[in-house]
Amino acid sequence: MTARRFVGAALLGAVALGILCRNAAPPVPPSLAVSTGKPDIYGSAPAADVQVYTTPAAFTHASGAPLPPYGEAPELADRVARGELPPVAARLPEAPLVVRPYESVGRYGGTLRVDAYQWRGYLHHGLFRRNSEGDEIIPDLSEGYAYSADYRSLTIHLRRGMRWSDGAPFTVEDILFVWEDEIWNPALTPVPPYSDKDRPQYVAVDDYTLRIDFSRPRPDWMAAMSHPFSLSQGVFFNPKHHLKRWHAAYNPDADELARSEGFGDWTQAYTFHAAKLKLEERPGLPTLNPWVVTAFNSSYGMAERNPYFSQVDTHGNQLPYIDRILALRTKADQTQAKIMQMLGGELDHLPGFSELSVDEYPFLKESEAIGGYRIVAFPSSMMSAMTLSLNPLVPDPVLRPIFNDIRFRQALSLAIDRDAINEMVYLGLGEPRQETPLPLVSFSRPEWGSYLTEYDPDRANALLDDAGLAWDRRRRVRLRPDGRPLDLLIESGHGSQIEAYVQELLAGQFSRVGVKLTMESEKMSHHRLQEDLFELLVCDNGGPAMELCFAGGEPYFLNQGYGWNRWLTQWIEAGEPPERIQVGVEPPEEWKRLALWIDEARTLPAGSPEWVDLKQRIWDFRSQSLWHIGTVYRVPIFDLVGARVRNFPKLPWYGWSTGAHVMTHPEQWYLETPRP
Amino acid sequence: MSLRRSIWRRRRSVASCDEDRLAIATHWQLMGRKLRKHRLAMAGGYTLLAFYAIALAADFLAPYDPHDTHRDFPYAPPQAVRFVADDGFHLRPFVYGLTAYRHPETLRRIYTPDTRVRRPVRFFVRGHEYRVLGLAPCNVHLFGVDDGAPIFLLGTDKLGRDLFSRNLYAARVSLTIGLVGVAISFVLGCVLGGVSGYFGGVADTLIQRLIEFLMCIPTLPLWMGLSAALPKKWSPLGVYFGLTVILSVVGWCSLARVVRGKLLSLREEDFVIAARISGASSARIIGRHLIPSFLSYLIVSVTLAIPGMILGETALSFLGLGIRPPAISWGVLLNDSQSLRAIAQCPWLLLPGAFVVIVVLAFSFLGDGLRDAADSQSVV
Repeated sequence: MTARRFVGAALLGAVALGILCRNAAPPVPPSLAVSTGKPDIYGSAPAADVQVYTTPAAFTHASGAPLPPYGEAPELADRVARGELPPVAARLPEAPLVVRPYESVGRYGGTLRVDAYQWRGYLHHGLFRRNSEGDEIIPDLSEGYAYSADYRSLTIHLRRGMRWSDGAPFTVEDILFVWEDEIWNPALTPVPPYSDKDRPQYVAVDDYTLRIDFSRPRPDWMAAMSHPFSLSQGVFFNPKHHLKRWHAAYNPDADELARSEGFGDWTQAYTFHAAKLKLEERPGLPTLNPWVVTAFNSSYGMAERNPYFSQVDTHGNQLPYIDRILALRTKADQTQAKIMQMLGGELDHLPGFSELSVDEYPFLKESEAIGGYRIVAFPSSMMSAMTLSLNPLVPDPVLRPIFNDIRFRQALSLAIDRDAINEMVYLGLGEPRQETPLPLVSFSRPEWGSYLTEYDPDRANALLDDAGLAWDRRRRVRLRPDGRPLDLLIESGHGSQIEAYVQELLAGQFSRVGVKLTMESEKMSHHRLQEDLFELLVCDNGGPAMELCFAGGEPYFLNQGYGWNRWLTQWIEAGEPPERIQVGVEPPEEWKRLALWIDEARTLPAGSPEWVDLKQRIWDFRSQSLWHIGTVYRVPIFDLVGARVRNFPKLPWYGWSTGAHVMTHPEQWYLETPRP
Repeated sequence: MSLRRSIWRRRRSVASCDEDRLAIATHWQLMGRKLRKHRLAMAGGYTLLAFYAIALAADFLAPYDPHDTHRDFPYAPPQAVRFVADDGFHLRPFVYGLTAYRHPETLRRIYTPDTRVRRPVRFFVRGHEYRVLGLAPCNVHLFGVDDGAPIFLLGTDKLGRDLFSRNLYAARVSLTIGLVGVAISFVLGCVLGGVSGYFGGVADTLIQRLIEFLMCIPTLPLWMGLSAALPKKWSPLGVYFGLTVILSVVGWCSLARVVRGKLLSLREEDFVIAARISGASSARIIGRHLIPSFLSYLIVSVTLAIPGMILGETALSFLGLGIRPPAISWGVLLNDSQSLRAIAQCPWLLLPGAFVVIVVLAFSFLGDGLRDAADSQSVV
């Protein structure tokens, strides 16, 4: 190859690349050439939750028609005919929950192919769930609850005749088993979650009624426990008939059994088989979920229909519609590989929650037709889609007084150009907002969300000048009192790409007010958070956002300030006098006052005038303290839903506060053309 | 030595003027002469010269500060510089204005050249301030358009930063950050390999055992460990520079092995014995007689080590282990192209890859030509 030919080839390559680049933009459809206002990606169809009726009687009351006789999947009917299963009416509880399918009554059959990373969300059901707005408690596996008038006693009703997936009855025994033999067994739980003073009493009224007696009014308990993952298998109840053989209290030879299975002692064997929070990884474990895990290995997981699942549709057909779920195990952070699988038609559903970042949207939307899926977008219910946090206990002794100066935090909030972040990172879909309760929360005040969210570098500079942070000689950076440049390390909560982009934007915006940022885009270790070692942090995950989250009791300091939190916990919950507290760091007086308010609010029923007054006082204080600086909120979370998946709901809000995609009710999805 | 002897013989015979000059030419002159005849090597050399010149003048050539974000133009495609408009040819190049709108369904930003707005390219315009060679402040830039209107020759990235400017600054980092490391390993390899091969004995044993130990250390985990261990508050470039220096302190081994082997065979040659008998010192024998005998190998090893460092930087930064933002290198720029979206919608994000290929090829061609030229056995 001569030089001339090489140069020629290089030129040709450059020209080809140029053509490629220029052809990349599609022609402009003339009708769309002018964009007006904010794009609407949620569509015109109204958003609503999947509606459920607690019992057939409630369904009849609401619809005026009785529930038709129960139906079941053809394969189950075959097994009933062969005598392998009891008939459907005997498998369902006396009063099953009735689900109104989102679009239409489905047809049985098919295999749903999904990714295993958030597989739990397809299988999971708890005793209760919340509505999407997060202000209502909805019975799910249970039939309901009732408080006594003084909120000292709570009664939970289970469904009469409900059965585990192996046919054994599900009763209060299964709840007491966890309470007495796990939580209050020192070998399994060395540090129980309640102090002796606060320990509630669990009383079995009958097989299907549990009463919990508290030592003081606890209206917050049910609000906190209404999260779908709170009162659920492994946490609140467990199949006693299945697990007791590995428990020393029921089997004197439990240690021997454990050793014969290769465990060190019975506690290890028990913990393995109970599979707390890892139910989807333990084939053979009885469950109350719509599907039972039958296989889980390094390449896939498989779950088959639970013949005893306790819910039916409005035609009386037992749910779920889909026969089985096949979950492919791709590494958690291999998002691009999962998108490829979706585009190649290998998956039927890819949940976007904490997986698909908003900047993937244009490409995925353009590829809808090729990939044979549709995008369903929901507004995220996070208080702020991206939050900048300052560490009040920052280890650097020079920085700590700077951070604790409210003018510094106010200046940082004013120095953030939220419109730029919204436009460049969130495709213009979000709205500027501080990290405060959403407008739909009952006690929310409009001024909290907009407090110092305007972009005003001049005012920010004036505030920083006031705070005594002078510029250096060349006016490039401000100086700390010890003469060194004000250079802050900004870290990343999840190590996500979006966080890295926001870090870069903030670095540019803060440089205009003389605050230099050094970026670290790797995920920050939990240790640095827990021990209060970081300086600044951006995190794409806000705090609890919905009514029930606040009604369930708030942490004193959200997501950070662990030293203060430990001190306040010791002071309030253990009731120790300040001079004897050895843990954590004593916070300033106003935070002690806040902790007292929070503690008082927990004893008041949510919505009462005293409660609203306390919550407003709490958030008047919090929203102005600016330890968490919000950017924008109501950004979309979107799922990729395969074309053959029907009954996929369009929810009004979406987020972890309501249990993420548990809210999409996979048990009432069906496949239009089921594959064998 | 056969060449020298033949030259000597030819010099004594009657020769033409040209041959005469050839005969009295030094080793370096011969090398230069041979190199100039190697056209591919010359092409590679000029390419590299151009790249290093661009890197040196990046401040002047870049129309924008590489960290400046243009919030209205994220993911803008490359703009063509034109001479021909509807009304014919213009001597002064111009770019069309850029209209952007967000597609209401896909939310993708779509850019179209606005042929009604014609913006002439101006030369030697005032822009962001920089320091010439790090000394004198200056704000003159080679080109730009009026009123801060966009001229994105290679498009923009996610945050609307001009990729042409970013690529220039990236060249500066990518092309130079490995040089110090290469120099350290080169010196260490020559000196320790030379000592080991020439003196032998205890020194040889010690150095060889040290080499064997160092060669056992796996570099990628070492790299990951070091990048996690270095203080978070160091600047990203400082961290990377530290890493290359540490790695080059470990990476001189293979060169030292070859130098030792060569010296072991050469030190028994007649001309070395002759030099020793004449009373030459060890340093002179190594530096004057032995090293030049295998200079061709050393040149090849250096010209391959530099592109190795460039590729290493690119690969590690692409994986997020090397240089990190806000520092800019070709690997950092490529890191942004790690998604299906980049390939499908913004292929211009992949351009730094082409620059890496060109530079590495140029180094290889130049190295090849230098090797041929330095080889004293080859015919002129």
